Amino acid sequence: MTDPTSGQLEKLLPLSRSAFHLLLALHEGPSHGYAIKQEVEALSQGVVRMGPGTLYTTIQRGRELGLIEESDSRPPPGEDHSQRRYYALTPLGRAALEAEVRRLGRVVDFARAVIATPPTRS
Amino acid sequence: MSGEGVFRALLRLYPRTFREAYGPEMLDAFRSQRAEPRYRGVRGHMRLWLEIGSDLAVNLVRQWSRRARTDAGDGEARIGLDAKRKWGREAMVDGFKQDLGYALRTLRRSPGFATVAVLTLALGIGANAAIFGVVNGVLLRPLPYGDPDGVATVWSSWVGFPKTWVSQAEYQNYAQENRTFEDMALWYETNAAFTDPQSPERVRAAGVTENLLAVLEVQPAVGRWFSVEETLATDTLPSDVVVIAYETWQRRFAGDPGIVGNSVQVNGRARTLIGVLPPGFRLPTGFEAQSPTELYFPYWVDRQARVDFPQRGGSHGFHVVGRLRAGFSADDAQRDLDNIVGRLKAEGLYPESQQFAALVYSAADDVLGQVRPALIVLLAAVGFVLLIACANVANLLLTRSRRRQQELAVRTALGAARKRLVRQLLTESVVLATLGGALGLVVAYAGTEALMALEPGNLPRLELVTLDGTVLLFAGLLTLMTAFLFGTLPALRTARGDLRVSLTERTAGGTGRGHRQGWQGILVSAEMALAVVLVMGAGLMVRTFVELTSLDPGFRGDRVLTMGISLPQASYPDAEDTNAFFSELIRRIGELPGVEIASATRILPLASQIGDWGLRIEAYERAEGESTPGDWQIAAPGYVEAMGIELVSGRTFTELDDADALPVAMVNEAFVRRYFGGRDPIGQRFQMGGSGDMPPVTIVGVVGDLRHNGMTVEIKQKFYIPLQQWHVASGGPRRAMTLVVKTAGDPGALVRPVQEQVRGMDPTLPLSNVRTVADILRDSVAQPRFTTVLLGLFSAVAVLLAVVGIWGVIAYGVSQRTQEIGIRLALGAERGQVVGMMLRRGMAMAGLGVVVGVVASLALTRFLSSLLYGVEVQDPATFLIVVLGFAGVAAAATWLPARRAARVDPMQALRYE
Repeated sequence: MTDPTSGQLEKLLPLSRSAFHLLLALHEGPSHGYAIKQEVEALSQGVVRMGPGTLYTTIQRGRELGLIEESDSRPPPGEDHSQRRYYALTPLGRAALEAEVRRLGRVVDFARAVIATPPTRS
Repeated sequence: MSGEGVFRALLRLYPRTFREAYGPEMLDAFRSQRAEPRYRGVRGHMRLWLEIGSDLAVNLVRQWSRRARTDAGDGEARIGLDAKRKWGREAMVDGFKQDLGYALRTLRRSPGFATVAVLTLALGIGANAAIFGVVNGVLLRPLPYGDPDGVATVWSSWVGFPKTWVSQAEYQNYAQENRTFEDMALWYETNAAFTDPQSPERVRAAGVTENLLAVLEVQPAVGRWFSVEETLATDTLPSDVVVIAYETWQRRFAGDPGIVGNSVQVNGRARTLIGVLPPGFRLPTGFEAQSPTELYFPYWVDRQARVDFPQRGGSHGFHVVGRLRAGFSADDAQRDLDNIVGRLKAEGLYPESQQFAALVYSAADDVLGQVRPALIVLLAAVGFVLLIACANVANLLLTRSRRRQQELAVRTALGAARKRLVRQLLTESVVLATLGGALGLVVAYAGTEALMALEPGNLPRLELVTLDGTVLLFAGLLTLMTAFLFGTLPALRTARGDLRVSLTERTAGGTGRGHRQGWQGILVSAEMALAVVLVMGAGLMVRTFVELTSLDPGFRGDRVLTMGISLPQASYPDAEDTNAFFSELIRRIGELPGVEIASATRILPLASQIGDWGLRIEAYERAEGESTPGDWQIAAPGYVEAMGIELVSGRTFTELDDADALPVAMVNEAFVRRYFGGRDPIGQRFQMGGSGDMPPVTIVGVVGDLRHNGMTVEIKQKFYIPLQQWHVASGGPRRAMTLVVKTAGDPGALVRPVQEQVRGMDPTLPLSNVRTVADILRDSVAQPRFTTVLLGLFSAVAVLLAVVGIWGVIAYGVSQRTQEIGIRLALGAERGQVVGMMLRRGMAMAGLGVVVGVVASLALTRFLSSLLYGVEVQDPATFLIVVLGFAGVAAAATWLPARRAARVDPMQALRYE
């Protein structure tokens, strides 16, 4: 895997809300579908809820774009469900998440600056 | 089908590649999701499926539009290669916009079809949303208590009283010996009055134990609740503190927080208002009432004290509610109390002949159990109407698809994929459904208003019925579901048409018809079957309603005005005061112009629950352990005449039956049957109470039986005591009475004059429940009337739609087969034969539908059984009438268009080609 170029990243941004939360949920490490859904709900404090359709449409799309991949790391055999696949961030996915966070940071900084400056009356 | 089965089936709607790649995982995720605690219970279930449904709808569109792009072979757009396409959304929007524009143009070109389809769908969706709104408000919202599933009510039951009050000793006994309740609270219901002279008002009130709010897990909205100290000794002394309902706080005190902690005049005494309950709070017995219980007094019961359990439990007049221990259900509590009652019976405290029992209900069952069957039946019925509407629109689409065959063939020839055409046709269905749904919301709004105007009577929690977000969401999902329901079959059939045939064929006839006509026949038969089931149900309800309204209540309600009045003890301490007041008031009202009879009674039949009083009847030999009670009623002179109650023998009360005269009584015919074996009871005597201390009263008259506790409830023995002698016969005065005024003209015109007379005698006295006896009689059948009217309406719509369906199919068949008919006629067929051929086809569809409908009715009408009265679930007369009626209607709907076949001119028909 080559390092993602900045040009590649630019095409991916901004990430859709579902994609952003998917990548964020996988930041901690590989996970399976339902656990991702729960993690997304927990991280967003219940604001973002993904039904099965949205969850797997997002996963499908993320794999196609090379942001995530199926992971080989699996939990201990006792907790394993055979039909569960585990997904992990690719370097591109990690870079995209970081780039998106930087981009959002800039947006927020900008918005803060606008709000902090009192509107001038003409 | 199980929930998982439904989900599996829904997964099949996704494109195969996606389904095969992720289906098993999605099923796994669904299983885990379903196990989450927030999806438990009825509401949880609903939430789960609403979420799954909307998730499905959104992602089906995404996935199929991805597929469309892939199919199109457009390298640029192929997902996975082009990162500029953001998550397929643009692709979806583009494709959808195109389809949408096309669908709108198509529908604009056939306004007649679009109008009929949209109106049909609006009717179906709107009616469903309106009924769902009622179900949502009445059944699905949790009761206004903390953890309402853990709240259970306790009642008593014995011979003649299937569900009645609990006694204080029983309550103490249950509270001490049960193992299934954390805590139990008790209350009694009464009336009380705000007695400041500016705005006297009589309201529903309750005396409650101090643990009531803890049991219900409710906090006051403002201020605080009663402390144990404030409650102590209130079993004998009037309390100094009151709590009021939120609604009362708003109405009387304009929501002024400053009033809390201040004194208010209640029942003629100043008391401190210490708290306000949260909005919408109701006692478990208060949900059916138009207005909530407004005043709460503390009432002391020592739950720790050793109970000296009286025979038969003592006086029954209380309600009990408990908080179940974690892990215990109402059924567990029922078994628990059964054991306690069993022990009391073994000790001989309840005679076996009385069949005493304790009853435990979960609060939701207690409050809603009565109305649940009716509402579920209505929801099912209105769902049937929607199915029929869908079948009709599907039929319209099939008919139309015939005409569009060529257009679609051209598009296919120009390179459109079949899937793309299906999507296009489905988009048209979604557009139709969305228009129908939008119009349906208007129908739902109007329908909800109409439902409320129908006065569904004692339906609990009607004030919660609104078109809120849940109902809107329901309507939205219904709309989507509808689109797939009526759109899928026509879309698939249309797109399957043979391209070459369609292109080469010029006009009607030819292949494809047989299939489509077959489907149309099946759809019409299904409509017929559904309509038969609905009409059958409605027929049974109509017969029930007729039975109920033909029951004789035993009294008449023409031009009788009634209102409640209650004298505060503080100003009217003893019987002389109350007697003098009532006698003077009745005299003054009697002198008002337009009043024929002025009188009063304790409580009105069919507007209250009457309880009984133990009696000693001199001439009656009591068996061992037998009790001899009678329902107790109080009547002023003229009551029997004003209410039109039949006088069977002897005399009614007169002004001479006063406190100094010989104590007398009237009894009803049931009383004579039970205690005198039907012999003449005039001159016989009885005493109130079992002790024998009270003076005997002499029976001077027998009056006809009347229905008091309900139109279909068994009539029990009842006695009447003159108002002026009540304190003599019972030992205490009666302060709360109901005025009964028979008028010459419109009773409504007398309301103000009567109120002025009351005010003239005591300006602090409020009047309550101003209504006529005719109102009461109408309200007594309000709920069956509500169900009957709605079921009747739905079945009328169902029949109408089914008739339109059968008519349409036959008319279309005739128009398609004009040429064939022409040839037959030219070859010498009789016109009658041709009409007969069309008729047979119509009657075959209808016949199949009716047969299936009758079989389904046999299975389904048993769900109505709890709503029926005086008619069997499988009533042969109703079945026969429905079958014959449908045969007639179907014949007419077939014959009218079939006639046209006979008018075909053979030459004309053949020249067409």
